[in-house]
Amino acid sequence: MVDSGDLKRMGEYVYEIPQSFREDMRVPARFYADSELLTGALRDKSLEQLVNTATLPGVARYALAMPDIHQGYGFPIGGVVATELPDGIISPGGVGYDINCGVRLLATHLEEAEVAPHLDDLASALYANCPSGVGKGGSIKLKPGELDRILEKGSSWALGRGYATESDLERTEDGGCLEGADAGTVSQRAKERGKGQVGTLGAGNHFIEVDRVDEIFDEAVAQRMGLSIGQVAVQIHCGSRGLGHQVCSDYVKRFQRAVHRYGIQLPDRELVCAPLSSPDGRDYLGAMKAAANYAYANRQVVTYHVRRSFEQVLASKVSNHGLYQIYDIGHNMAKVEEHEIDGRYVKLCVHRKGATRAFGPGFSELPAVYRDVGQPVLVPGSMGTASWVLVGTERAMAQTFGSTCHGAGRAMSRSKAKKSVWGSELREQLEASGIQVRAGSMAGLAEEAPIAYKDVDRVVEVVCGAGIATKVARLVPIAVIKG
Amino acid sequence: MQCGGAWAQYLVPSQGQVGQRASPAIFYHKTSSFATHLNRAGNWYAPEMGLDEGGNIETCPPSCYNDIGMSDFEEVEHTADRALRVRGRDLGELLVNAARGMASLLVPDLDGISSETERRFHIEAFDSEGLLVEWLSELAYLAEMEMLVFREFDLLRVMPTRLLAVGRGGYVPVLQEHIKAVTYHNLAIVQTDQGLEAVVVFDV
Repeated sequence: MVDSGDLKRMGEYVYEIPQSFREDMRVPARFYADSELLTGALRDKSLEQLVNTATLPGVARYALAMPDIHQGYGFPIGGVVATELPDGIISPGGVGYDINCGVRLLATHLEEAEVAPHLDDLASALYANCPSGVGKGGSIKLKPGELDRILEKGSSWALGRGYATESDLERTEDGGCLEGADAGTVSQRAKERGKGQVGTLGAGNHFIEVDRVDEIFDEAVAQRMGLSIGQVAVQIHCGSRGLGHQVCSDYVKRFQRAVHRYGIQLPDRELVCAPLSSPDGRDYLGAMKAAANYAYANRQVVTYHVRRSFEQVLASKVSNHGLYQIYDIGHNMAKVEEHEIDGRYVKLCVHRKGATRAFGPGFSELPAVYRDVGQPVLVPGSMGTASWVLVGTERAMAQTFGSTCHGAGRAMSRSKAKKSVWGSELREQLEASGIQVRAGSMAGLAEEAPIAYKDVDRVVEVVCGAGIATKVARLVPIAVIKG
Repeated sequence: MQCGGAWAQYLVPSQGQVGQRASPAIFYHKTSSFATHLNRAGNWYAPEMGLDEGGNIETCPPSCYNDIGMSDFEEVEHTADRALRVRGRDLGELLVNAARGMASLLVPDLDGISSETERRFHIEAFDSEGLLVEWLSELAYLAEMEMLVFREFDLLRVMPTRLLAVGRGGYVPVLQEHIKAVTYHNLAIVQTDQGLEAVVVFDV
C-alpha cells in the first residue's frame, strides 16, 4: 500500500510516487490533489493501481492521475498513461469497458423562469423518450449492415438519418467520427449487444440532467460557446453500451494469451496489453475506435430524443424550444497524439480512463469555433450538485499530455451508499431542493447519492489551481433523469 | 462432495499467470478423457456424460451444488464497482458459488427466481481464472440480453480450462444491477485450508 510517507510534493497540487517506490516501475507516478483529496486517495487502492500503470512497457515520462482518482480495475479511474510509439503498448483495460463513455452539453435559448412551469412535464417526457435502465432497448431499428456504418461513421451516420445537425458534428470531439475504425475487428457478440441499444442511456452513473447556468467565470469564452447566466442547458452522460463492454471483454481475453507472446510481465492481469505496432494492438485500436464511434452516435441519438422531448412539451409554449450543442467529449479513450517531451515531439498512445482531453488553444484537433480558446471540458458533478464547463490549457499540454479531470470521482462504495441513504428519501430531498427526479430504480438512485462522491467543486479547484484547465461556467441541476 | 465418478486431485501450476506474484492453485478434475461433438443444429453433445446427439440429457448427473443456503460468497468493498469473494471446496463449487454471487447482485431474492428455463453452457478458456471470467460473462450476457437469471446448476464436466454445465433459472422483470463486464483485476484462484478462493471484480 502507498502511504503518505512515500509521496514527494512537486507543487501545490502535485504529488509524486518516485520510481524507486517499486522495482518494476519504469517511470514515476504523479497525481493531482489537495490535502483532503490526497487523504481520500490513500484510503482505497487507487494509488497502488496508479503505480501498476507505471510498469507498462513504453510508458512515457510518468503515469498520471487526476484529482477525481478512485479505485477501479487495472487502471485507477482518473488515470492518464501515455506510451511512446512505435512499440509502446495499448491496453484495453486502460480504456475501460465503457469505451468513449462521455458527456455532451446542449444549451437552450430559454431562461429557467420560462421552463419552470413545464419542468415536471419536461422531466417526464425526457424519461419516457430516452430509454434508460438495464437491458432497455432503443426505439431505433437498424437495417442490415447499418450497425457497421455506425461503427465506421459515428455521428456522420446519425446526420444521414436526420438525428444530427452539421453544427452538432462540428462541436463534437473528433467531429464525432474516429478515422480508422474497423467494424471487422468487432465480434458478432458485441454487435449483437449493440444493435438494439442505439439511443439509450443505460444504468449506473449515466444520466440526462437539465441544468441552469449558475455562474460565468470567463465571459469571452462563455460567449463563444453560447452560454449565459440563467440559461437552461442539458447534459447527457452515456457511452458505447453493451457493444463497447463486449469489445473490451473480447480484447482483455485475447490479450491474456498475447502478453506471453510479447514477453510482457504485468502486476495485474487487467492491465494486459499489446504493442500498438503489433497485429493484436492494431486490431484493438480498430475495434476501440469502432466502439467509440458507436458511443458518439449513441449520444447523438439521445440528443435527438432530448430535442423531441423539448418540442413535445414546449413547442406551443415558448418562442424557441431548440437546443444547440456546446460540445461532446469522451473520457474513456486511447488516442494517438503528438506531444512534446524534453524538447522533442513524439507520437504517443494516450490512455485516458476517467479523464478528459484538455488541449490548449491553437491545436488543429480542435474545431474552428474553439481553436483559439482551447478544448471545452465538461465535468459533471454528482447527482444534485454542480457541474462545470472548463477549457484546456497550454500547461495541460506541458504537464498532463493535454488531460484533466472528468467528474467528481466516487468516494464511497455502492453498497455503503445504499446503506447510508434510501433512494426514496434521496428523491424527496432532491425534490425539496427544487430538482425534479425521474429514476427507474430507487436502489440505483441511492448508489449515486451525492454522499458517495467527492466534492466536484474541490476537484475543479485543484485542476484549475494546477493550471491544467480554466473555469468557464458552473451549472446547477433542475431535473435529473436516470435509469 | 463431488458428482459421481472417480475424481483425482492435481496440483496444476497456474498457467498463464501474467504477474510475478502468481501462486499455484490446486484444481480438481476428472481423470478420464472426454469428448464433445457438435450436432447438425450446432448444439454440443457428449455421449460420455449422458447427452444424446439431440443435445438432450439422457441421465441427468446428480446436482451437487444446488443447496442455495450453502453458497459461499460475500461482497467485498470496492469504491466504484462491485466485488465478490467466492469460495468452493473445488473448482466446480467455486464456479457455482460465483454464479450465485453474481445473481445476488442482479436480483434481490435468489429464492424468488424460478428454475423453469434451462440453458447449456460450454465454456473454454486460457486458464482457470479465464474460465471463471468467461463463465460469469456468459451469465451476465444472458441477464443483459434476455433478463434471464440462473439459480441452479448441474456441472457435467469441470476441467481447469473447460466447463460443461446446465443452468436453470427464470426471466425477471427488472435487474437491480447492470453487470457491464467481469474483470480480471488481480484475479487469482488461490488455495486455502477449505479449498479454493477468488475475488472477482465486476464493472457496473
